[in-house]
Amino acid sequence: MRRLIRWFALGATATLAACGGGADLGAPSVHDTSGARGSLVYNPPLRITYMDAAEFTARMQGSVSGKSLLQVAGAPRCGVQFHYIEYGTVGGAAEPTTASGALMLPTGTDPACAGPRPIVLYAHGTTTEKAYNIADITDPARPGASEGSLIAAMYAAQGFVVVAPNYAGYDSSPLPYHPYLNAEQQSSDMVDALTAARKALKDLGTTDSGKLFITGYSQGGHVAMATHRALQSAGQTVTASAPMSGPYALGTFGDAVYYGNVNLGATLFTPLLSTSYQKAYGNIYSKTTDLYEAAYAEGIDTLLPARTGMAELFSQGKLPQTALFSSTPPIPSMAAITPPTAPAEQAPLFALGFGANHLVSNAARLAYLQDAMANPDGVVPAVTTGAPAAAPGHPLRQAFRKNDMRNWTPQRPMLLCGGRADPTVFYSLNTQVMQGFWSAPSPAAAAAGRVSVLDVDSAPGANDPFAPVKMGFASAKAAMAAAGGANAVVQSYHGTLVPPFCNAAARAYFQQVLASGA
Amino acid sequence: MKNMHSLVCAAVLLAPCGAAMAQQYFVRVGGAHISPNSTATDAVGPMVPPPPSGIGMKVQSASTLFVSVARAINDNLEVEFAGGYPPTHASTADLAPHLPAHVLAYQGLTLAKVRQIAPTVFLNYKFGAPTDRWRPSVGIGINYTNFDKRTSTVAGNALNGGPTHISMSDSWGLAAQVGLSYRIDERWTIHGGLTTARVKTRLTATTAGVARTMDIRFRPAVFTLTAGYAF
Repeated sequence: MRRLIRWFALGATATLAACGGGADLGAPSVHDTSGARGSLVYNPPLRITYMDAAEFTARMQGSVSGKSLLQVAGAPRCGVQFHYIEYGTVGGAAEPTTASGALMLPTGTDPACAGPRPIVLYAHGTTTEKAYNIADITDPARPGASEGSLIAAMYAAQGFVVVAPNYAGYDSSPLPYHPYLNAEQQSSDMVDALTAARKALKDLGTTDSGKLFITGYSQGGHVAMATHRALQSAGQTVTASAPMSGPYALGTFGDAVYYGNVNLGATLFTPLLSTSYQKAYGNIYSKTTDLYEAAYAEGIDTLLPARTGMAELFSQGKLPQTALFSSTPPIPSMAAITPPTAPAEQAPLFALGFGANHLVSNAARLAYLQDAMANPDGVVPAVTTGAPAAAPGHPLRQAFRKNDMRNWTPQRPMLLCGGRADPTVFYSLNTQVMQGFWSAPSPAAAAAGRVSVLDVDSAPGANDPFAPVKMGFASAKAAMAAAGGANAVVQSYHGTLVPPFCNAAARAYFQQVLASGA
Repeated sequence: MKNMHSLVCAAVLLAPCGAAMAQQYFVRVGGAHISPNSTATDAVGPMVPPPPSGIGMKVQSASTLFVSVARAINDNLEVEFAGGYPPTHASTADLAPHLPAHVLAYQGLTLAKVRQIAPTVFLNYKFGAPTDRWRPSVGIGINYTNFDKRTSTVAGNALNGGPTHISMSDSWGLAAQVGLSYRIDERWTIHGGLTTARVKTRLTATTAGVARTMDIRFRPAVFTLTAGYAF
């Protein structure tokens, strides 16, 4: 009898051992842990969701912002598969890391959606939220969802494959900071996302037509331009690009801010920039109080990107809302720029940048300005050469110069889009400075017709191909003014009003380049 | 003291106990039908709709070969070790109606196949005397459930967004059963039983490195019909 029991127990054990337990994934999946630049960590990548054209349309019609996006972007022609990619890339000091992003694929039987598709490589705008994920549009409240929906509607639903990195330092990336406006890192990040995405395409049944368009907004405008430059210098294909509302002429822009032309959002951009450049170049400060007021200095180098929202950062006193500089001039002779009172229409904006609980110490501002006066930029404070300062001595100014875009000339079509009254990234100091830099008689002048510039906040001209965009922007701006007054227009100008119209213009521009076969 | 002795016997399961009592073993072999009566929390994790995500699963019924071995402690008490051939259950999509059409298209489809090994030890009380023709019984016990084989299906991979690795935690819980046996002769009985147990597991579905979880609770109804043989 005892033997029988033993047999039974043994039998059970044997059954367990012999039947091949474990998990079966039901399909092959490759996990690339090499960490190499451009490696695709999981292939196939995760598919987050899918919408056919009708469902995407219905989704947009379900919200006020969606309805207005639908008006600008047009009805979706294609369904969209939303994939999440993770890829190997580098940090600001060339340290290996990984980052994540979106790969959006157009689907459907419409000729605009099937067959080999062009790729739009999109660079997103500044975000302070670590959890930013442009691929996750499943909940409109999540950071990244609205920009993800915008580019899906604008490009993927009209037949473009979209590759949009979240950037190193965001979402699941292990990098503990973000290499903000580091042209070399950010262009590498973009190229690595593109390389990884192309590896995924094969198994997802989408063919790359070989046409590559690069665009991006705000920070992403700078990144898009840097990526165009990097691919061009590497001898790789760029079909066309459309940097939008970006801080391209960083040297000029940085000097303008320190001269008192404080932009909206400066208290967020400053820590993002200083941390990024400190990590890359190591010489921005030896301790954070070299740059910041003591009230904010502690922990500011690890503050952004943050797990909390902007409102919490302000309410917890981690950052001042608008006061970048002290209202007391660093030295008496700088009273006229503390704050500046001209031009009159911008004076109220600049005034916001000065206050009691300010972020940057007067000593730091003074040191910056003394170098700016000794080694002036070619645009600020006075237009001279239009070029960046030849030999800045201040480490932050050296970093700006290193990441300034005034050192190359595009050989493929480029549209620079923005709005002239942008209070966050000044149009005249960035878009128009680049326009001047690439126009005769500048030695860096681009071939005729190669660089186009669009100010969405201007009156349509005769036979203006961008007339619908300009009229659409004007009516959106008027509606905003009617609803919330002039202040609402200022607050929403850069982040809400301009992006859909510049993206619509960029798409039209790309489609025109495709149609011309150039 | 006798009770104490019985408990010790129960504790050491099938090890032989004091020689003074009636020694008898029963082997029961037959069929089992398992209705898992599962309820699952909505899936949570990165890149699923916000809570409540409305994405759940139902574990479907399965039938299998049932085997148990019991040892009498006295005329009314026995310790039973129940097992059998591990059944494989289909797990189907249980989706909230608010989800978009392309997700609802998976409603009811099999997302995963899950094989479970669920050995259970019971202490059974059998009413009446060993010679009675009909003997009802009740039992309580301990169930251990291990989901040893988990296979994501084509539909499961499509809904999860790619090839998906499924893991399910082991479960320990109380079990109970009622039964009725019909005595054919000294050796043979026919036994019918209804067993349940508290089983819960955390299911983790990992797709391209992204893990989503749901907690599944089972209140299974296991119907068994067996032929018993006494030694």
